[in-house]
Parts: sequence; structure tokens; C-alpha cells
Amino acid sequence: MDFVQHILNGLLQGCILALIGLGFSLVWGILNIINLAHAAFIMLAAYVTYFLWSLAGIDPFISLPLTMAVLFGLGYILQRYVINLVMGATILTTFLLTFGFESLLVNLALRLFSADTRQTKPIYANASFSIGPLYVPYTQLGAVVVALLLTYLLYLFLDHTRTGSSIRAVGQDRVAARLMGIDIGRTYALTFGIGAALAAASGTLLSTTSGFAPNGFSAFNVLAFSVVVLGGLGSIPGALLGGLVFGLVYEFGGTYVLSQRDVVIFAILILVLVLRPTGLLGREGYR
Amino acid sequence: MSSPILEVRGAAKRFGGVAAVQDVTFEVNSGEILGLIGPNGAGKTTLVNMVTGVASPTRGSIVFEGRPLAGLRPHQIGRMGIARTFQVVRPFANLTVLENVAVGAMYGAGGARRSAASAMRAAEEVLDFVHLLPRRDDPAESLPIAGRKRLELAKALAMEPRLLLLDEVMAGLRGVEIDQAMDLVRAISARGITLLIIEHVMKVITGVCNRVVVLDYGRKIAEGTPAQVTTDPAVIEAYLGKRYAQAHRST
Amino acid sequence: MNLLIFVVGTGLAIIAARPLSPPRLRRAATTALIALMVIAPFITSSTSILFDALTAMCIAYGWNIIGGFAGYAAFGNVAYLGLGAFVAAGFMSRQPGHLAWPWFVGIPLAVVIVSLIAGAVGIVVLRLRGHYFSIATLGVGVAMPQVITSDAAFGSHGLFPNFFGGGLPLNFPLADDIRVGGAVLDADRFFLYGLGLGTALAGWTITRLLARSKFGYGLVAIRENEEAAEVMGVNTTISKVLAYMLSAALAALGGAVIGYKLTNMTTEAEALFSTTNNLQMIIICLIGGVGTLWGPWIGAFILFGLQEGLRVVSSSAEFLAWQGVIFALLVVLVVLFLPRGVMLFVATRTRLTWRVFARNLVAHRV
Repeated sequence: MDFVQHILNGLLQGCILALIGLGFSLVWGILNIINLAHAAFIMLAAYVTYFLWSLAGIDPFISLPLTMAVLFGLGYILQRYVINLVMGATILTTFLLTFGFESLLVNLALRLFSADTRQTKPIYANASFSIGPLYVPYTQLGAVVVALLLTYLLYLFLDHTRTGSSIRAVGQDRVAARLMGIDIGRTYALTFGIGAALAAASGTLLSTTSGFAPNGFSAFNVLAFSVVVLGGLGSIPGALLGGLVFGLVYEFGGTYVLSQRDVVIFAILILVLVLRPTGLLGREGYR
Repeated sequence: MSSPILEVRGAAKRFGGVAAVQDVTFEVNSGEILGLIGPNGAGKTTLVNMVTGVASPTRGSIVFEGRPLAGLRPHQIGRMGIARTFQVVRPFANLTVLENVAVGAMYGAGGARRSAASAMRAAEEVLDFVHLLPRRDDPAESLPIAGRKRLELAKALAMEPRLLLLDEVMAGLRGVEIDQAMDLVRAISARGITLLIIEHVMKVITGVCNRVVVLDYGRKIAEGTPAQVTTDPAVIEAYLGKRYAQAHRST
Repeated sequence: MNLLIFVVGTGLAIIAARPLSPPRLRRAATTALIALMVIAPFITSSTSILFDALTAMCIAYGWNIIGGFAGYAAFGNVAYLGLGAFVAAGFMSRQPGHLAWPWFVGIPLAVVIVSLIAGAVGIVVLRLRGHYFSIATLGVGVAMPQVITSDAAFGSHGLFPNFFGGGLPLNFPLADDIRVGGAVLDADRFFLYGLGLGTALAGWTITRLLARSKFGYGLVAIRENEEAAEVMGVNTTISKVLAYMLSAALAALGGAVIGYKLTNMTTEAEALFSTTNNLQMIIICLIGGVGTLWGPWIGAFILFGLQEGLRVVSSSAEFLAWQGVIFALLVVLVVLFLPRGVMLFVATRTRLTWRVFARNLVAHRV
């Protein structure tokens, strides 16, 4: 039964990883930027959620939309006025810029919030409900619901709204999109903001499921990348699949090979990149 | 009749479901200038890619100076004596004109026994040959399109090839520049280098080539002298369509 | 005094780097610079920050080869930095069960071993390009510290039992003071500094040889147009792997010497694999000029000169606390305003005005 519990845990965690991968994939697929500040956005959201809860008593699942809005704004402004400046530059430049921002945000957080471990613990934090011999913590359940809901909303947005279509158009062919009258700058900023908002949601959820400190999030960059590579860039179901797989890897890795967990993740990443770089469900464009 | 330096037998290349080249057979004789023509998408560049090892044939064989090229990687083929120019010219932008050519001298067929310094000297000679020596210390990206084409040619020549493949080297050139390029091609041939030229400009084909091979939809549809090929109905049909071919036949 | 050395050193390096200066002046500047660094321990009371700058320079020279010359921006060379330190410690430690080999055996051996490991990694990772290569190498940097703590390989019953201490403390032996005639030269200030200077000169010399060699030109050709380089006869696979191994070798060399000075590998060593170290080698190259001979030298001196300058003008405790933030901010500013580094002014006829920075800022807008 222990084993099945691990599988369940892995799948539950996997949903959050899928959400992280989704935001990362959106920015990568549309802007062609690997945003290394993604992990920092997750971290910031975790702190925003934590402080809203510890100082104002707001339940994390209720403050979620607010946190998402805040990070959306941050992402939008960051892209519109800073990252936009290097959109045409080399990979090294954009990498370094986002890496620099990540380092900046993490170090600022260390200064302002100290390295103490925090965790958002609403009343139901340690409670769970059971299905037979398995138990599911309420926070994890909530995380899954939110993650799946946001994934579905993203799909609806990209496929069935005009703005969503313009985002997909810009991702496929920037020149053609511009000729059709789509404002590229605004679209890029919007996309980046959405990516940041998705990161924010992940951060909120993570703040409830485990303790965190400013420097504990950097592994999420490689993890997000791995999720997207495995699932396939440009695919929403792919991000879900990739997230679930790595959720299981994370859970089993954490139980049996804790100190080498990242090595396992890295090994899988390399295997996928070398054998099937388009991932399991990847294809052109963004669906 | 001189012996064939390159033998292509039944070469075919598929990309997924698309057959870019199908069952193409021809020879290039030592010392000649062979033209390779055909409408866009006929498979000409793919064929050149197969000869240089960039693409591997799905079927058939390519033999250079008696040695089969199957399984060889592009750099090995380059060192064997085959050089090419690219249709879209992209020089080593952050190097000088001289350094661009020197790389060819360092790594081509004559490269193994050369030091970096003697490669520079060899590069100077090649630059002189293509009339680019005055620009030797300029950054390569400062050259206009005609200069870049000549630089591309110089880089290939510096490799001391015995077979040189030119991929639409005239594209983007105007009147006088084309004449100069044709003179250069003849001068290269006079040095004993065998040439295979992909071209769309008919003046070049008729003015410079000894023989011509015509491709259409990946297949060889004609082969012969420029005069024979330009009056071949199959060739006319491929370029201009059935009606023009019929009109031409009746005149 | 150190600040003065950094300023003068930067100036000399810039003179040496200027292609428009007469060759004799440049050679003189180079000689003067080396001479300055050799006598430095005699004219300053603490060579600590000079040591930091020189070892960082060596590691940056390594990155310069794969990231600058070959154009493959590796983001995980910090793995080889740390590994170099640990492997050297494993060989040199005088604790029971260890080999206690001297530094001139232990350090070069560590460099060789790390290079071979990098070769194995490179064969896999260099099949990737662009984003994929960068993230894959980032993954190497994240995974490597965990390999060292792996029980299966290095635990008490592992393949190389207790090579890295196996849970017990792992230490370099303390370096001895040098006795010359009647004088005693302090180990930290002279001997270890000398090793540090040695690593910097190694990096510089290797780069100098590389820049004029066929191999070096092959790497640059790969950077500029890999497909063309390949048909021109460059064996791109071997060239890239060799460049990667060379970059790892220099990272390991710097790391081993840094570790030697740190001595205690158990508590301090985690910091060797830090993000800061990872970014630092890249930023040094960026500040000085990526893919150039003098870039890493100039970049390291400017970076550490700034650090020393800030330390001098501000209170020590406050400065230390904000160091991470300041460094990250510097990264962002350099990337935005001066991506081609100081070399932009040194190697071309660009004049130092505000306009240049403004132009750099918007040069790549879309």
C-alpha cells in the first residue's frame, strides 16, 4: 500500500509540476525565450501567499487570484520594458538576462525575508481524507483541482478567444502576425504575464504543500524544462503528461535516492533530448 | 574522353514521405564543367548535399575518384577534395576576409600538412586569384553581395578541391558581375578543377558548361550539351509547361 | 593597495589588448603586467582578493573557450570547478585512508581526471545546440554536487570508498610557509597566491596559443557557421568536445587551487557549486569581451576591482550582506548595456560616450 500511496503522491505533485511546465512552455513556445526567472516568480508568489496568510489571515486558495494578478503585472512590465529589449539578441544574452533576474530576485528575497523556512498552513493544512488505505491531504487535493482547472482555462483561452489566437499567431509567424495588425509588443508582454501568473499559481500551491526558503526553487527551472521537453513543446496535454511523469520521478526519487534525485531527472532529460527531442506529444505551433 | 571523377548511380533521397531525388544517374568527367539545372524544387541542392555528405542517400551510390562516399561525414569528404559553395551565402562574419579563406586552406585537402601561418599565405594567393586581396583585412560582413559571393568561392578554392560544386553562385548578381563571375569560373576550370554548377541563369549554362544534366521533380529528364538540352521538349515542358512545349515543337 | 593593483592592471591589460597600439608597446605592457602580479605579494598586505581574481580569471578563460570561441554557451562549468577541488582534495588529503600526494601531483591529476569526465559528458551534450545545450549543461551543474555525495560511488562500500571523505571531514593539507635564506614567506600570501597566479597565466597562455592555431580557427568557424565549417573540413564533433574538455580543465585547475586555499572541503565546499560561481565566469568574459585573449583578464580585474572598491568605501558587514544583490544587478546591467564588453571600446574605434550604451540597450529590440 505504501507503494500505491507513493504513486498517488507522485501524481498529485505531478499536477503542480505540469502547471509549472505549462507557464514555462508558453513563454518558450511563443517568445522563444527560456525564462530562468520562472523559478523566481514561483518563489515570489509563495512569499506573497505566505504573507497574505500570516499577516492578514487570508486563505491561500482565496488569495490565489490576487497573487496571480500581482505576478501577471510584474511579468507584463518586466517583459514590456526590459526583456523586450533583447528579444532579437543571442541565446546567451536572453539566458543571462533572465538568469540575472532570477539571481536578483532570490538574493533580494534572502535579504528581505531571510533564509528561514516558511510554510502556509491554513486550518486544514495537516488534514486529509482517505480513500480506503490511501490518504490525500486537502492541500494536495486543492492543488490538483486548481492545476487542472487552470490548464483547462488556458486551453479555452488559447483556442477560443481572439487574444488567445493572436498569441498563437505571433508564436507561429511573427512577421505575418504583424502584417495582420497584431501588436507584437503587447502580445509578448501579455504572454509573458500569463506565464508569470501560472508560475504564481504554482507558487501559491507549493507554499501550502511544503516548507520553502528563497533558494529552494532554482531546481524548478531544470525541472520545468524537463517537463516541457518530455511532453513536447507547444502541447498542453504534453505538459500535463510530462508533469505527471516527473511528479512520479520526483516522488520515487525522493524516497529511494533522495540525494541523487536531480541526477535522475537530468539523466532522463538527456535521454529525451538525445533520443526524441520533440518529446512525446510535441508538434508545430501551440495547441 | 577523360575518366569520370564523380559517378552518381541510382541516387535517391526521401524526406519522410517526399522523394526529393529519385533514381538519378550521371557522371562528371574529369576537367569538365557540368551544369545542373531544373525548376525550383527539382532536387538539385539535395543532390549536392548528398555528394558533400550533408545528406545521406536513401538509395544508390556516389563514388568520387573511385572511392565510395557512403557513410562518410562532410568534413571527411571536404578533406578528400570536394568543395562547395552555398546558395545562401553566410561568411564567418566576425573574421576578416583573409581569415575566412584561411580556414579553407587549413582544413581542406591541402590542410593537414599546413601550419596556420602558411595557410594564411595560401589564402592570400587565393584572394588574389578572385580579386579580393585589397579587402583582406576587412571584416567579412562588410562586403557587398558580389564580394561575398567571391569570398564564398575563395573559401572553397582554398581547400584545393579537385571537384567544386557551385550552388547558384550567380543568384543576386547583375549584368557585369555575371560576366566577371563567368570569367572566374573559366579560370578555375583552366586550373584543372572539375566543376558542377547549379544555375538558373541560362547565359551561364550556355556560355560556360560543356554538358548539362536536367532534373525535374527529383528525376533526371535530360542530359547533353547546352544546345541539345535547351531545345529538348521535355526540358521546355518542365520549365514552361505543356502548351509552350507544343508551340515550340510546331515551330 | 589592492585596488591600485587592479586599476593599474586593468590599464596595462587594455594597452596590451589594443590592436591599434604598436606591437612593442603591447609587449611591454604585457611584461609590465606580469611583473606587477609577481611582485604584488611583496607590496600588499593581503593577497586574498588578488588570489580570488586570478583563479576566477583562470576559470573564465576556460569558459571563454567553449562559450566564446566555439559559441556554445555552457551554463554548468561550475560542476567541473567543484569537482576539480574535490578530486584534488581526495588525492592530497593526509587523513587516514587517503593518498597524501603532493600538490604538483594531486592538482594536475585532478585536472586530467575532470577533463576526461567532461569529455564523456561532452560527447553526449554537444549533440545539442542553442537553448537545449545551455539547459543541458545547466543540468550538469545542478546534478554534479549530488554525484559527489552519492553513496553508491563514494560511500564506505562504494566504487571509490571514502574518496571524498565518505561522511568524515575531507581536508587539503595546510600549505607550508616557504623559507628562503633567512626570510619566511607566508603560505597564504605567497605560495597559494603564486599558485593562483599560475592558474591565471595558464589560462592566458593556452588562450594565446589557441587564438593563433588551426584548432582555434576551427572553433571560431564552428561558432560563425557550423554547417559551412563542417563541409570545409572541420571535424566539428571532435573540435567541440576538445574545447569543452579544455574549458573543464581550466575550471578544474582554478577550482583545485581555490579548494587548496579553502582547506576544509566539508563545510565550505557546497559554496563552490554556487550559482554565483556559475554566473561569475560568464560575466567576467562578458565584461571583458567574449572570445578575446584579454577579455577574461580585463573582466576579472574590473569585477574584483569593483568589489574591492565597494569594500573600501562602504562598511564591511553591510556590503557583504548585499553582495549577492549587487552582483546580480551587475549581470543585468552588463547584459543590457554592454554585451560586447569593454573590448567594444578597446578593439574598435568606438568612443566612450553615453550614446554607445543607449544604442546597445535598444540594438536588439524586435
